[in-house]
Amino acid sequence: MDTSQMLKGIIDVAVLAVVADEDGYGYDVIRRLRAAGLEDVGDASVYGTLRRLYAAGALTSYVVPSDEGPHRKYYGITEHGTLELAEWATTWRRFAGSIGALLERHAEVPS
Amino acid sequence: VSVTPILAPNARRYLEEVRRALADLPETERDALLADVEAHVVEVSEETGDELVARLGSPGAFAAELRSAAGLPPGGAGASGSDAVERLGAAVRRLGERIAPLRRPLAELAPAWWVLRGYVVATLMAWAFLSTGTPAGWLPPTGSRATALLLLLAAVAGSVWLGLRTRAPTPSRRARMALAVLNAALALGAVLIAVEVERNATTTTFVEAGFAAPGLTSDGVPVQNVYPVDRDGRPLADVRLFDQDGQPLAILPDDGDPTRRAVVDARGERADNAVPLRYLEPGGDEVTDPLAGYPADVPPLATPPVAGAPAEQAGAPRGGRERRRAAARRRAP
Repeated sequence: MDTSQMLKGIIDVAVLAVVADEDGYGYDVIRRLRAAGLEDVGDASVYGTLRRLYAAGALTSYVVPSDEGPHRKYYGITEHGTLELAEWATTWRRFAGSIGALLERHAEVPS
Repeated sequence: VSVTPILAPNARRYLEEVRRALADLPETERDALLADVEAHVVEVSEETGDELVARLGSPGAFAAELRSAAGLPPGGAGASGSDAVERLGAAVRRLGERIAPLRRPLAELAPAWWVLRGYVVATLMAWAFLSTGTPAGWLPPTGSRATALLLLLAAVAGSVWLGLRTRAPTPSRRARMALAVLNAALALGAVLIAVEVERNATTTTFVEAGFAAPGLTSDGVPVQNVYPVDRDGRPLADVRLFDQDGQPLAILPDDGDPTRRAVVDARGERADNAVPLRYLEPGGDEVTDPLAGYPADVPPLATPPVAGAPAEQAGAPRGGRERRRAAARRRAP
């Protein structure tokens, strides 16, 4: 199954988690998501998500001037965002555990 | 805050198209979304050169993904629609937002529009199917007054019914669109009818003015009589008036008044242009007072007579050429 479908629902958590690790600008967030194995995440999806999380008060932003290239808008996590992430983390672990248990006895595609 | 550096042409094109696909969003929202994206597209284009679309997808798809991830409604005309349609749609939406405060007062006036709409439909139908070429004022031109009123009543009732039906529950988007188009067309029809009715009204006025008093008029008022006086202030009788074309200038062409003194020329033809008109004593054939009506105390003219003017031959026949010349002299200041 294509992971992009699954990603749609949980991109918020992924972005929050990445920004919680360290503040970052859009492209930086995308790179870190990809490095974490989420290769299918779309660039536009990340920007849209950043914007939505910011509007919801889960992220803050600030502009960092850059000598080479355009100025960059960095995002950081807010207190509200941290709480939300913690909630997500609990839910996710429970959910992943349940699904993992369900799938345990089933064969994987030989790689 | 976005400082746009010098962009590679492909990056600029890409960004322009994304911006256009987001044209319907409120400005602040769009700018906030694009502030990040600009920097990103620039960076990606530096990395990938001309492979921008291969890496990011089409600008339309990029914009759509941006919207969906940001929790914004999808674009109206869709990314596949033509740019012109998208821009038009965005402009209409913006206009709608601007006139939104007027919605309520306009809605109150809706019933008036329904009635007008019925009138427009009736008149257009009469023009199209029943026209007999006899417009009866503002009524639909159907020939008979009863038919016109019946048609008008039916159309207005239908229009009001439609108005009430579409007002109450929320009609479908499609129905709303169809109604909007219909209304626009009928509003145009209303203008056409207004022009036509106005034109007819003007024509009527013109005909009435053309009917104005027969015979000689002065400033629009009929001239009842003319009293010629010679240069010495002496009253002249039976002076015959002709216009610039040699046509008799008849004041009050025969009105059948039996007391009017009939004047006939040597050929036996009526000479209604002989002034002053004289009236006979009722029951007789005499003019009681031949000098009645002449202005009293007319001073003689001081300006010398025109050389060779036939002052002493007022009754002598003259050629048309001479008459025209005399007319020209009169007109000259």
